[in-house]
Amino acid sequence: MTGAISIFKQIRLLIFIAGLGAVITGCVSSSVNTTSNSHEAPKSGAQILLMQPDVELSLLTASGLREPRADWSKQAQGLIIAEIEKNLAGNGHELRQHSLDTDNAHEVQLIKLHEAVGNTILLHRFFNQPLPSKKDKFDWSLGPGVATLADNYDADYALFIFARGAYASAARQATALVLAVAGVGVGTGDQAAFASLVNLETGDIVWFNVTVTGSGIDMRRPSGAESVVKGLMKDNPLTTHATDKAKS
Amino acid sequence: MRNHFKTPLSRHPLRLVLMALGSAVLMSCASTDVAPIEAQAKPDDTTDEGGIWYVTDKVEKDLQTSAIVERDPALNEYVSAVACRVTGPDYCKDLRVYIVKQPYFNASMAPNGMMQVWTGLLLRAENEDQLAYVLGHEFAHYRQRHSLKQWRQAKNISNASLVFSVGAAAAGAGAAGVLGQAAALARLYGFSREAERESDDLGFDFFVAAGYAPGEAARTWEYLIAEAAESSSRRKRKSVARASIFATHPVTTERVENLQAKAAALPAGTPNRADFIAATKPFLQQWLEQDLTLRDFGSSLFLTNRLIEGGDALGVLYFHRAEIYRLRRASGDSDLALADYQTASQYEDTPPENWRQMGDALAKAGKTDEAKAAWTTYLEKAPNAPDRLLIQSYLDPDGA
Repeated sequence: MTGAISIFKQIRLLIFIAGLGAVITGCVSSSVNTTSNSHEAPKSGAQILLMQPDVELSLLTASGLREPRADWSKQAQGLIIAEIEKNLAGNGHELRQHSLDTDNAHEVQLIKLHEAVGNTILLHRFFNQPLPSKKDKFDWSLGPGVATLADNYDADYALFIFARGAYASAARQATALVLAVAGVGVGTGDQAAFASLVNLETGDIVWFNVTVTGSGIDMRRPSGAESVVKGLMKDNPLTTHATDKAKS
Repeated sequence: MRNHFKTPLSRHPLRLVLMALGSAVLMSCASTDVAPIEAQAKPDDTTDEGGIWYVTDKVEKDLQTSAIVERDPALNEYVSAVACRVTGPDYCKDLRVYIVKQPYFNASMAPNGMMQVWTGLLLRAENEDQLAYVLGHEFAHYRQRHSLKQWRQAKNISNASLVFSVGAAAAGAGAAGVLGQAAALARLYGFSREAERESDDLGFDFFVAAGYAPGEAARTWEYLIAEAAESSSRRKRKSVARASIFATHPVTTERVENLQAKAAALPAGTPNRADFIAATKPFLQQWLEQDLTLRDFGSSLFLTNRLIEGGDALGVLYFHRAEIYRLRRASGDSDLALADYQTASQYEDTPPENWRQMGDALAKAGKTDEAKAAWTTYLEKAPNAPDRLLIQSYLDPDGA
């Protein structure tokens, strides 16, 4: 049941990626949303809880099936964490990594809730199925129940990351070459990711960004992960705050 | 579709492209001839199998924290112990059994060792041996790495059908391309049946080696076929339900006969009913209620009647059968329901609700005094009933 829903969403995501990926090989595009609820900019020295990034990278087989690769996924997960740390360094905030305690039922439910809300935002904000009730506003929230996370980890914000990518196998690349001769375009890989920043006092998703890259960028490598995270963290209030402070 | 290729190559381009494509695709043809997995083995992260485990590990994490899992320690200990007896001590450490609260007869095996046993299966097994056979069958899927085989087969088939569909499209035969896909799908399905057959055979061997009664293997399938025939749903009677074990485990006469023949060659053995009933009895009422939410009265009645024949927990069972009649509301069902409430009231293990429903049924039949007696018994048996005030108002309408 839930499996069917997430597969549906993944397919939507893939269609989305395929459309954009074909156009923008080698570049990064971002789409930033910020909360329309009243919200104060993060104070200097805010504590940021980095939730374990959900990363799944696959091999794109000759016919286009996506075969998950554990080593690539784990490698990219590590690189993304390192890049996030780098990206937020020097902004006066403190980053700490979250490790899930599966016995803490409330915490588990909060993470699942975020996944559900994040997928809903993706579906209705980015996949051309706008919700009438969300017109001209971005007021998504996990609710004040997130205060548990704030208390348990002494944190002000939680940062969630979700990333998917596919890289062509040698056979896929050969297939693409052969079919290109015949005038048929075949995709050779793509990456998509989203990040969301949750205010742990109100539960509001204060900033949400989707990033899509073409096959020229490879987040299995440090340079690729850097590009993806740079696109992913675009205009996030944690960095913006520091910039504003520098300006003023 | 015609004249698809208008490039300079187009005199004989198709054969050239297909040959080149064929060899490009063949570069990735994976071997589906995989050896059984060793006990306590974990695939390398750089392999396709490692990727499959990575993804199923995440699914398992979600399941572990899901409300759908029955966490009762005693029941989990019992079912896991049966699984271990079938797999042997080495593989036992590789499997994690989750009891999932779903009213369908099903069990499943993930490639990483996550095994699911649905409560609809525990409700329908008659003894430990029948449960053990299904667990042995599922374990065989794990040991023979059927998921990996299936994935590789799918990969090879889709690669081959890529060559075929490009070729067919280029030749202007759109329909043939579609047929190519259908044929590819049929092959996938055929493979799956092959795997089922292998799991039937191996599962049987594991369960017999663990000392279970050979004849019980076929009996589970025989029962399921019989229950499906009594279903209130025409679709279920015809094709047998989705979301049940039939979706992935098509039961054919051939499979049943195969198991019957294997058992006939062996000593009969005695099935272990006592331990199974002791472990599952505390959940019987809850599982029956869940079964009734499917509103398949035909199949629920068939199941309840068989459980009544078993002779255990009769108070729970007669009360449940009365509830089936009450909810079905066919002609004559009120009388049948009342008779079963009355029968249930003679047993020790009958839930207190029986007397409330019996009171309602008696009141409907115009037997006011008997109804009041039943309601009074209900309040005696359930002094903290949430509907106590309501029942008191039936007993004393004037509120004296």
